[in-house]
Amino acid sequence: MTGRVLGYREIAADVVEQCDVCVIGTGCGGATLGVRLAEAGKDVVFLERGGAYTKEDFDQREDNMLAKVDGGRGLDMSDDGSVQRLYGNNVGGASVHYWADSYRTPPDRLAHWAQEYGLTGHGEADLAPHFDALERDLSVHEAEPRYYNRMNQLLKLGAGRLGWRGAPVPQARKGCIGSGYCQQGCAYDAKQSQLVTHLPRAVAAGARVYADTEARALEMTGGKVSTLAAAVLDRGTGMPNGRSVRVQAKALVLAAGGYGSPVFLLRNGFKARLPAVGEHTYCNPCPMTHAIFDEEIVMFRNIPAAWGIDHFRLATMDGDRYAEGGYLLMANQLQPAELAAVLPGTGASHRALMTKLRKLGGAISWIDDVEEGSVSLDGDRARYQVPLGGGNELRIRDAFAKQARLLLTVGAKEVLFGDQRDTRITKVGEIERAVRSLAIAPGNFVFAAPHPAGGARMGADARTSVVGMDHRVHGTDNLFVADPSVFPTAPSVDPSLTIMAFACVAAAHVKASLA
Amino acid sequence: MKPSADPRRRRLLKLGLGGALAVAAGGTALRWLAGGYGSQLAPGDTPIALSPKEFAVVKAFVDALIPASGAFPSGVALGVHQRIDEEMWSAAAPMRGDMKNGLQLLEHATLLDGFGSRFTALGAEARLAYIEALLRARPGALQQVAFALKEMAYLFYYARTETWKGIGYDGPFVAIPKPPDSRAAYQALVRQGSAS
Ligand SMILES: Cc1cc2nc3c(=O)[nH]c(=O)nc-3n(C[C@H](O)[C@H](O)[C@H](O)COP(=O)(O)OP(=O)(O)OC[C@H]3O[C@@H](n4cnc5c(N)ncnc54)[C@H](O)[C@@H]3O)c2cc1C
Repeated sequence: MTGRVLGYREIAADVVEQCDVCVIGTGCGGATLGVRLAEAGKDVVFLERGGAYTKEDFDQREDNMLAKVDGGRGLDMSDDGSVQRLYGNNVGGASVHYWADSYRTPPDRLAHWAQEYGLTGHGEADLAPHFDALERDLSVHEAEPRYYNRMNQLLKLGAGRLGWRGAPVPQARKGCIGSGYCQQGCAYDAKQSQLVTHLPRAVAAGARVYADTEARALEMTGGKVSTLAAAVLDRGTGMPNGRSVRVQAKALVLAAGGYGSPVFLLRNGFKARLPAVGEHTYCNPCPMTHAIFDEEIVMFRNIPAAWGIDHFRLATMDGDRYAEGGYLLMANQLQPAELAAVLPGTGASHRALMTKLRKLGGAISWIDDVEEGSVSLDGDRARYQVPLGGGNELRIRDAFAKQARLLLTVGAKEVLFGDQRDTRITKVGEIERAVRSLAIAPGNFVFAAPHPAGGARMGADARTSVVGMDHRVHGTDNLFVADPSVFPTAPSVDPSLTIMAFACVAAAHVKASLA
Repeated sequence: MKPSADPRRRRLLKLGLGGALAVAAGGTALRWLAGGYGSQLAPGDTPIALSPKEFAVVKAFVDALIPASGAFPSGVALGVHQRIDEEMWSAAAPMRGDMKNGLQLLEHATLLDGFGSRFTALGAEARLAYIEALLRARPGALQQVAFALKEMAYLFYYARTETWKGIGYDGPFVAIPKPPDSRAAYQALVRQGSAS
């Protein structure tokens, strides 16, 4: 078979495909698995709901790029507005707009998953060879100091002053020019997204990629998926254009992402058999603090998170009570229009902030959420619940406090928490009171949620989990899941490398199932 | 008119409690109060996703939120309201439905909140005061609508080259913009709409 990528303009008639493996989704999970199977000689077909783009399409304009590569064009919220759900909707998935931070899963988290959730085959020793290969293939390395923008320099300086542990963040990049447009898709193919790494290799090995093609209905015979029916979408209108793609595959792999895969399973009726579908979800809500400096920060240029603080990655307890931590702390990067969208205030006060653009900096944290969310269907509409209370709230408040301390320690004249009341402080002594006064409630902040996990978690028991250790959906013969929806919790670091390493394990099981 | 902060806030909180239900039911019911908005459209205003009434609410919101000042053009002058209509046209149907209902509600909620007049009939200052009160109100349907409109308005405004010099943004390195396919599809509808 000759590999190729087809979009809605090229799919001129209804298609019927027969293949070894059909993969739904072309992000870190799907592409990593697909390339391994294609290079092992398997006939692989990818279905991808979003469009196929190349670097020539990445014009660095924020609203154009949100419309092209972001799921929900960047505006999707959870049900009550508690978080902004960020995810991919294009060939290459969210890796096309990710920051390229590339952490191995911390061994303590893998051990936790083994001990608390009974995971086997996904321990440190099992994943190590996959991490080695992935880091090689994605050119993962520590960025040199010239890639540290002023915000990253200050983060490092502040951590040193405060005695907080930090380190360079491993980066999946090659020949980065430091433009700062990582989130808009890299116009230089320097960021090592799936679009420029695994997918071209898979296509070279014969894989066919159907872009603008939404997987919809599984046709099952007993426990076996016999056919997958998909609809081709007109990229202009977002609506089905009347063409269909039907795939008969020996194995079907669901890699529609942490927000997408549970919904696909719900729509195909799996909840009745597997009550854990859509349950136990996480998303790393991201509190961010803005700061006004006297010096130029220009946070919108260079690598977003070149250096990071992992001192607070694990929460510490004081007896039974939460003490602090449970998040990573990074320099923030937002391009001007997205920054404008999340800054507090209106009218003249908002404009006054925007005119200080070059002197605005900020910090951001991904909360290792401990309160579980869920996703359910209301008719055909997916409803995402993300709780901000309980242990999540404690971690969010602590992250706000640490971010403010850090920013004030390195010379911020004013720190803004970004809430609708526009709470601001100028001194370290004001932090505690200000943070205590913040209402951690939906609609009061923009908490980005770029790291969905859970919803189809792994485990041995079909009553409490969705897939087994071989990534196969319980009770099915040939349906697998290879994305973060199988994680029992969030991984406590940016998830892309964990997703890919798990996908490598899944690929081996899918391959074995074909033998 | 600018009522004292406290009573206004109390009333807003009450309204917010209705949540999504209020948006769904209230918004739909308010559609029949649609008279006269079509004639308020200015030349070049061509709502595609939104009704003339919903479009007028968006435009009044943008007008209050982003006035012209110094070298900065107003949001309306840059067509931010039309861009929001484009976004609603591109949005998934449930999100579009929520927003349309929310806009219907926003237009009339001012009356319940003691502002004495519909949102679009208020002066810019009173509209901004109402927007600020909504943003600070407890979570609920109207608060979410105000929040989403604010986010979109600023996103689309500062995505425009005309605003960059004023904020000290030197702009993208890629010289030529390449809009998404949805832009051409939407603009074809706008052209048809303005022709009819
Ligand atoms: C702004 C941002 C910055 C980030 N930065 C980092 C970072 O620095 N480091 C890091 O490790 N992680 C980062 N992440 C997270 C990381 O990008 C994602 O966790 C990861 O890319 C997800 O991979 P995935 O394969 O699970 O899902 P996705 O990449 O979301 O891929 C799933 C694909 O499936 C498609 N799909 C969904 N439903 C269907 C269907 N029914 N039919 C067909 N196709 C379908 C979607 O369109 C999508 O392209 C970031 C995320 C965001 C949003």
